[in-house]
Amino acid sequence: MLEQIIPEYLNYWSAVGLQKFIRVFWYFVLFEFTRYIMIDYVVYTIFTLTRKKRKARFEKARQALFNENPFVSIIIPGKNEGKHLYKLTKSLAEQTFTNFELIIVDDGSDDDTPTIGKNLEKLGLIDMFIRNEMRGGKASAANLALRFSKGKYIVHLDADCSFDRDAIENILIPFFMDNRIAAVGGNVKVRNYKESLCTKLQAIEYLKTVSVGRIVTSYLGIYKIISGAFGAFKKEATDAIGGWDIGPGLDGDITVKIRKSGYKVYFEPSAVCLTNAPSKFKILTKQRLRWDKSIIRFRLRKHKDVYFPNANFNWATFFSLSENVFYNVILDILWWIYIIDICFNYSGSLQFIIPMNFTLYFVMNYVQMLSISFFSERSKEERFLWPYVIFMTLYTGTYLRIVRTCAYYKEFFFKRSFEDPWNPYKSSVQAKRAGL
Amino acid sequence: MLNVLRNNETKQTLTAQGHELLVVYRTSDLPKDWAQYAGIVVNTDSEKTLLEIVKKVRCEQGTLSLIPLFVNELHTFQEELLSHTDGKVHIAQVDTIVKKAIKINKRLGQIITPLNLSVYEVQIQFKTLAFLYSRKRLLTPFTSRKSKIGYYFPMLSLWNGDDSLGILKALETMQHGGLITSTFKDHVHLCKNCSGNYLNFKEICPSCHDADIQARDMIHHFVCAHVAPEDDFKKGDHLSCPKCDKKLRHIGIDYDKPSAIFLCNSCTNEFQNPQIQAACFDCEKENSLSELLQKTIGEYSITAKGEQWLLNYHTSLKEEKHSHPASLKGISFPIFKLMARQELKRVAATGTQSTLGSIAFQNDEIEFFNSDMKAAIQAEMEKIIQSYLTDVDLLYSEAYNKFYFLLPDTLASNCERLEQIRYNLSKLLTDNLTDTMPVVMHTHQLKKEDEIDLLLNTL
Ligand SMILES: [Zn+2]
Ligand SMILES: [Zn+2]
Ligand SMILES: [Zn+2]
Repeated sequence: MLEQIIPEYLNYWSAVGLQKFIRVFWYFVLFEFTRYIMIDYVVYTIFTLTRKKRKARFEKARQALFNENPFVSIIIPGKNEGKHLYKLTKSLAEQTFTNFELIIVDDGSDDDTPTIGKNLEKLGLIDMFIRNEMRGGKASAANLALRFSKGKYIVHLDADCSFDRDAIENILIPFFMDNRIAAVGGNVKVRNYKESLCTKLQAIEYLKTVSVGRIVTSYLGIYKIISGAFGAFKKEATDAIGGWDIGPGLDGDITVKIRKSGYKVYFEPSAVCLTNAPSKFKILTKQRLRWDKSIIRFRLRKHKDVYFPNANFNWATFFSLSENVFYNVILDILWWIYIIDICFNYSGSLQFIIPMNFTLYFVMNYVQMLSISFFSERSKEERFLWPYVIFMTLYTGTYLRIVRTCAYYKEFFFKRSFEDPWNPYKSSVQAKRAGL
Repeated sequence: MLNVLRNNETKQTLTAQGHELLVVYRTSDLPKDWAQYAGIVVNTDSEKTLLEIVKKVRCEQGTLSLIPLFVNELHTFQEELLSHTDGKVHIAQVDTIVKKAIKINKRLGQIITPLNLSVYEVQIQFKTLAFLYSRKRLLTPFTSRKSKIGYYFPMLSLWNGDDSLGILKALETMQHGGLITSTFKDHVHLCKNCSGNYLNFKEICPSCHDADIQARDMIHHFVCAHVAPEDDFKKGDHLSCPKCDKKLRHIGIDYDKPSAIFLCNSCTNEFQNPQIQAACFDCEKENSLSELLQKTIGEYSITAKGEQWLLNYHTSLKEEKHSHPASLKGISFPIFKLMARQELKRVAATGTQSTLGSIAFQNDEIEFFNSDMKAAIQAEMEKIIQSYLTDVDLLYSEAYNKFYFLLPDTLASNCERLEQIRYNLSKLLTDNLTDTMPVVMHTHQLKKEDEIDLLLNTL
C-alpha cells in the first residue's frame, strides 16, 4: 500500500511546476512564509549586525536609570489572588532595582485575599493594600491603583507571575533610551510548560508570537499589545489618557491609546516574567475567545479612527493596528477562502495537497523554532519543547483558527464581549450603551 | 414552733426552732459580736445603709464575716449589692429564714479558720473557698464602672474593691492550684501600664499615629472605569468624572461606591486599614491592641480539692472526741489505737512501710436521718471498705461518715485498693443521694517519730 502511495505522491509533485505549486499553496507562500520566515530572518540579521550598537545604547540607558533611580509604583490589581501574594513579594524582594512601592488592589475577592493582604500590609511587605468590597472589573482596579501611585513609572503585574532578578530593571531601561517611549512590554513566558501538552504548545506559541513576534513588531515600530502580566508605563502618560478603559482586551487598548497620544511603545525581550498558562484546552478556548473578541471590539470598532486620515493620523499607529487586523482578521477570512478554493478547484488532488501542506508547515515551524532559539536568552531550556513543534500545525493552523473564527463571528455580529462575566454587569451595560 | 418578734434593749430578733435571727435597721444596730445569732436580716430601704452593713459584716476576719445575711424582700436593691448577701427573704416566714441560716451555719461549722489569716493570700483564699462552700454557690462577677477592671466580685470586692486585679490574680492562683474551677464569662482588656479598663479606642494613621484621620468614599464610574476618592469627583454641588467629564447621576446605574479610604490630615497618608489604639483615661498611656493585657473573667466554683483544703483545717483543729463506743461490727477505738501504736513500734524496729489513713465525707441529707438509718448506712459503708481489706488490715468506723484504717506492710502510693474504696463509696453515695460532697481520703506512712494520737487527730 505505502509502496504505491509514496512514489505516486513524489511523482505528482515533481511533475507540478513552480507556478502551479504557488497557485495551490498561495496562502502559505504569500502570508505564512513571508511573515514568519522572511521577516524573522531579515530582522535577525539586522539585529546581529547592530548588536554592538544596541548593547552600548542599552548600557548607557542602564547607567541613566541608576543615576536617576526614579521612584516606581508596582501595581497588582486582581480578584482572589491572595494565595499568590506572599510568593510575589518574595520574588520582588530579589529584584536588582529596589526603589519601588507595591500597591495591591483587591477587586471584590470572595476568598481570604483581604485577610492575607491586610496582614502583608501590616508586616510591611506591601506598601498599600486597597480593597473594593464590590467588584468593578480589572480596568477599574488598575485605575484605583494608579490613582494612589506615587511613582514616576508604573509597573503593572499579574499576581501569579514571577520574575527574573533583573526584570524590573530591564523593563525600565527603555524609558532612558528614548524619551518618547511611554510604555514598555515585558517578555512573558510560560512557566508550567512541562505540565501538559496544552501548556507545551502554548509555550511554543508564546515564544513565537509573544517573544519573537514582539521583537520584530517592536523593531518595526508597530508593536501592539503590552501584556497585562508585565508592562511598564510612564505615569504622566497613563494619567493623561485616564488609565485603563473597560476590557476585555484592555492591555491592547491602553497600548493603542498611548500610541494615539503620540508616544512610542517598546518591547523589551530581556525583561522576563514567567506565568502559568491554562493547562486544559477547555480553559484555553475560553481565554482565546475573550482575547480574539477584543480585536474586533477595540481594533475594529473603538479605535477605527486610526484608519482614516485626520488630525491625529500617525503611520506607525495605522500600521500597528492594520498589521494586527490584517494578520488576524483578514488572514482568518482568507484562510477559509483558501480552503474553499482548494476544495472546489482541486478536489481530485486533495490526497496530494493535504500532506504537502502539512509538510510545508512542519518544515516552517522548525525553521521558525531555529530563529526563536537565536533570539532567546534561555534557548537551552527551551530545547525541551522541540519535539512538540510537530503538533504546532494542528494547534495554530487548525485549533486556534477555529476558535478565532468563532470569536470574530460572535463579536462582529452579536457583540458578545459585552456579556462576558469577566466584567461586572453594571460596567458592561454602560460600556455597551456608550459604544466603547 | 413560735415565731416571735421581740424587742429587747432596742434589739429586734426573730426566733424559730430555738435559733435567733437579728433584725438590723440601721448600721448602728449591728452589735460587736453578732456570732451569737444564727443570722442577720437587714430591714432597710436605704442602699447606703445596706452597703454599710454588708461591708461591716463581710469585711470581718474569718468565718465571722460569713454569717447568713438576708435582706427584707420589701425593698429593692441592685443585684450587685444583693450578691454580697444571702438573698431576699420574707420577714414573716421566720421558719424558712432559719432553715436557710441553719444550712449555711452547719457548713460553716465544719470550717475552722486557719491560723495564718493575717497573710493576705490566705485570707482571700480562705474567704473565697469558705463562701463558696458554705453557700454552695458560684462566684459570679458583675460588671461595674466603679471597678478598675470593669468587674466586681461578690464579697471579695467589698473589702478590697480597689484591687480588682489583685482579686482576679488570687482567683487565678487558686484555679491553678486546683482549688476552684471556672467557666468562661468574659474577656477584659486592660491598660498595659496601669491595668485600667477605662480605655478610649480610636483609629489612627498607621504612618504617623495621629488620630486626625477622615474617611472618604471611593467612587467607581462604570463607563470609563475611573476609580478615585469622592473628592476628586466633586464639582460644586454635583459629581463629575475627572476622566471622561460625564456627570454622575444615579448610584448603582452609572457609578457606585465600592469602598472607603482614610486620609490623614496630619501627614496626608492615604490608607484603608487604620491602626486601632486604646488610650487609657487613667494614665493617658497609648496602647496598641496587641499590647493590651487580656484577662479572663470566669464564674468560679469550689472543687473537691478546695473542699479538702477547708476540711483539712476542720479536722486538724477539732477537739479529740474519739470516746465513741465500739464500732458496730469492727473493733473499738482503744483497740484500734493500741494496734496502731504496736504497728508503729514494729515500723521503728524493722523499717517496714505501713500506712495509717482516714476516710471522710459530708452529707446534709443523711445528717437529718434518724440514728437507725445512720447506723445502717455506717454498716453498709463498713462492708464496702472491709471487702477491700486483707486479714492483717484494721478498720475502725467512728461514724457513718468517718473511718480510720491501718494497712501494715502497705504503701498508700502503690495501693490500688484505696482508690477502689474511694470510688465505690463515692458511687454508693451519688447513686442514692441527691446532695453529696466528695469522699475525702487521707493517708500517712508511719514513721518511728510519729505520735498515734496526734496522727488520728490530724488525719
Ligand atoms: Zn493606664
Ligand atoms: Zn499620618
Ligand atoms: Zn468617567
